Amino acid sequence: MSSSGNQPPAASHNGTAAGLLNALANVNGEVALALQVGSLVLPLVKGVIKEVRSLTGTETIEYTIAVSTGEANLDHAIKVDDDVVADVNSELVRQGVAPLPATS
Amino acid sequence: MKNRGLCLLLSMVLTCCALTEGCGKKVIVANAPAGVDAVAVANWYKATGAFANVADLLQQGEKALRTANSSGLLPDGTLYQNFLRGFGKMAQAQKSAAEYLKTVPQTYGQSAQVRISAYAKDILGVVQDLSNNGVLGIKDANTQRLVSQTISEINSAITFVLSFTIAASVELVPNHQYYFAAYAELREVYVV
Repeated sequence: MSSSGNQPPAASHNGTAAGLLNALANVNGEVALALQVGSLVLPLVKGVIKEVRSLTGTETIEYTIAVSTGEANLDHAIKVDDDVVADVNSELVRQGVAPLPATS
Repeated sequence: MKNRGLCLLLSMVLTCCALTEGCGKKVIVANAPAGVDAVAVANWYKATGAFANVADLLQQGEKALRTANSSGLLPDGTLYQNFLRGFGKMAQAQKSAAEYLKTVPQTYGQSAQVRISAYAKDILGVVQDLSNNGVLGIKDANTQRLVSQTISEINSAITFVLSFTIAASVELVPNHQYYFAAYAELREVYVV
């Protein structure tokens, strides 16, 4: 299993292609989303470009920012998870069945 | 069937693109304290983003189920209750994972990843169960599509976490290999 999913190999940053795509984005142009498999380009879907982002490159983040952002992500996840479990249990009880057993 | 598979693949690719800003990019953590593995912190950071996204997906799915029930599209009964339990169990597992992750921002090494991968696999187990035994039982096409898409996106987000989890990397199923191979070939742009 390649772990390339989170770190795609360096794409060929073709300046012409990138410039064209940015130009299309600026005028709400249409583009086909495609997968390139070897030399073959497989079109998947066509749509109006609303945003163009590079999927490659590098994001550099300060350690303190990474940790504080990560902790905020986790606080958010925990709160939402609590809300979901509370809603589910309330609905199960309304259905006349046992709520989820509490986890440790 | 072929179109359904293509749609699923596309959904997974787009979901992964939208998950976190660091999803498709290499994340470098700068100025980590001495003795702290910056790569481990980067993986921890990416995992937190994915889990936050999964929480939102769980809430979205749970609300869709209740809306479908209240409007009569998913009637009271075993199927509805099974979906509720499934989403509740995923939220419980994810909360445990998130609480554990909060304790290891500086030490997200192999032993921590083993523990996170266990939570992730619990979630994927529910995803698989609902996918195999529940989704097709939903008679309303729109509700079925919405729930199916939500489950697929949860699957993608959790698989993303496992993709940089050392202990789990050799256990991903063939479909996920295809997904990541396809994602790796995606170049530069996507349509939103």
